[in-house]
Amino acid sequence: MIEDNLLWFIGIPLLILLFWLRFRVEIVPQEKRLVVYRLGRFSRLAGPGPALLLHRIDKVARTIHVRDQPARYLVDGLFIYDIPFGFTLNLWRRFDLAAATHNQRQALAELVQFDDDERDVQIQVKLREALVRSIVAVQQQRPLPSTAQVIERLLPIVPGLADSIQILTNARAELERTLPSIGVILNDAHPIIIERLHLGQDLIDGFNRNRTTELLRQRFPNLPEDTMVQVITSIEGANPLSVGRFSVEGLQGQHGYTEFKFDGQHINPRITTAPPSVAEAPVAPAKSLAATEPQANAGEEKLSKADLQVLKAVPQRHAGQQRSG
Amino acid sequence: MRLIFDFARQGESLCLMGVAGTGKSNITNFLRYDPYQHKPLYLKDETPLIHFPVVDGNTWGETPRSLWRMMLTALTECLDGVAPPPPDGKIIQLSENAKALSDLKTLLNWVCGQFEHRVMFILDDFDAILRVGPLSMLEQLNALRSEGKRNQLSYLLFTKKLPHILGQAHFQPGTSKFYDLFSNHVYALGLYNFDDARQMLLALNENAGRPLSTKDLPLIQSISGGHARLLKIIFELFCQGSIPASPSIDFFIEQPDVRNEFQRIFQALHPDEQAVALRLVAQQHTRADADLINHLTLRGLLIASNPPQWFSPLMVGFLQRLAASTHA
Repeated sequence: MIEDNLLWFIGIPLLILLFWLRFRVEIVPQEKRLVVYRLGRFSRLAGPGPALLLHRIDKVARTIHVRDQPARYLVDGLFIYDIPFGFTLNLWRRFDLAAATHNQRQALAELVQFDDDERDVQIQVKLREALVRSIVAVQQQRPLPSTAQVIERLLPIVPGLADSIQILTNARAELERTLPSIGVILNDAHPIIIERLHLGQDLIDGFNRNRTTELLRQRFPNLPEDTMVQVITSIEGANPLSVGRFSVEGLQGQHGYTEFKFDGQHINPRITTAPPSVAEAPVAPAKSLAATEPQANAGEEKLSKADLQVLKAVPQRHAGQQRSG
Repeated sequence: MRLIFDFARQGESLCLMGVAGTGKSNITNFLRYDPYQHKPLYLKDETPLIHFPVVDGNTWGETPRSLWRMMLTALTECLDGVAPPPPDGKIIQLSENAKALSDLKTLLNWVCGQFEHRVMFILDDFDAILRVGPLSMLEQLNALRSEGKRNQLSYLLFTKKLPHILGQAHFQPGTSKFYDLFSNHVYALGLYNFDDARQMLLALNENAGRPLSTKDLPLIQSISGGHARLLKIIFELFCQGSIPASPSIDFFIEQPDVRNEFQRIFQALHPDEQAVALRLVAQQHTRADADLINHLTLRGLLIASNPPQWFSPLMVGFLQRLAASTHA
């Protein structure tokens, strides 16, 4: 009699509980981690591979992408010698919470509360902090007189020049220290790159390109021509490019060499089969190319079958409205 | 239009890819101004709650700030009857770009949050913007949508080339949240079908000072092949009265406006599409070209793939001349 009662009062509820709590298995890819919460509290980071979850009490709060990849960040509202500017930076990073916290549970429980988008915003904040410190340090090393011209004030942030490299080096050192606090690890193998320098439109409008070139030549007499082009074109808005299409006819399988000449106003590109000669006069962009000739790839990749499959016909249920050829 | 309205209602984004001159601007005008009152037909009671601001990519100043300003202006213009958001004197932005973006966010939050309206930005002629970027600007378009407006803010892109090819310098499928918004919804915008082309011609004829004889209209339609701008150009040639009794294909191709239009169509194609088009008219295409031929058919440039048949006899003539000059 007692055994019968035990079966009813303990066994059946236990069975119901086990059914209610049944397991499920989630397969986590190599490049992802699942943030698993149990009964509302952080439980663990699951993956890669199969992750065993309890049906009712475990919840996947979010997925974190842990692969190492480059990312662009726009950092606006910076100042150099009182001139506002912004950088678009490119850096390689991964969201590796376990490595960043050395698997300390409390720290991990705090970091897992943010998704990848929020972490990107945090990176921007850390980047700003690091850049501000680094820029201030460079300004203190090289104080300028109050009469200094705009372009002189801007030189330290022009990509590719020594000061900007110093700014990035300092910023990187600080980021390596601060980014783990938000679960981010910088990749040592790739440098931080300035992709774009953003200046206010009023500044761009008043930008005297010839003066810039002249000043750069005075300060950096050995700066190669193509570096000069790169420096000038990296300043957003100060874009002297009026490059037409390149004619690559006649290469016939030989190696081609590209060459740029900058006359202060225009960049003149040239493609030849011989290594570029410094003495040769620049040639005009190949405007003579027939306007409708097939473009020799024009910087675009070949269209693969997968590319073509992206394009679809308007779905059938809308076919009544489709404009067929 | 039904496809677009369905997407706008669901807050989903899409991309319509069409060759130059296929009437993309007509669609944007219909969406913006709705001259034929299509919206109440499809959107019913939701008509005043869904806005279609039009951003013309051709006027972009190649900076993020310029894009935010264009979007802000377009949205402001189409918000008839919606009170503007109250000014917030506390916000002080350091850069013009941040200020422009902040203004746009404020208005979107106001329209989508306060009034619970939906907004579908029409990003017209977006090829250059996708090509130039930068990625941070494009991703910001997704971020705008993420901030509590996931089902209320969407985009309709018009491009002439495949969007992921245009933006290949910035994003690859699966790595850009902006591209992911519409990556599964890139649709071919074909040419007008017979009835639509006929309707357009009749409308042109009705509005012409000196209407053409109805026997000229089928000829115009057959040689234009449903290409909107070509229909208009050839219609105007007929209106000028300079068409000989039995005009040849060469006669039309030699007209500057017609030639320019075909050049525009051809130049807006991908180099691989251009190459296969030239091989087709030279009868030198091979089995390896099958995918691209089907692609051109989907785009409406070919109306049959086997044997290949171009949408207009003038296109054949133009390509033959081009192939001959290339070989020469």
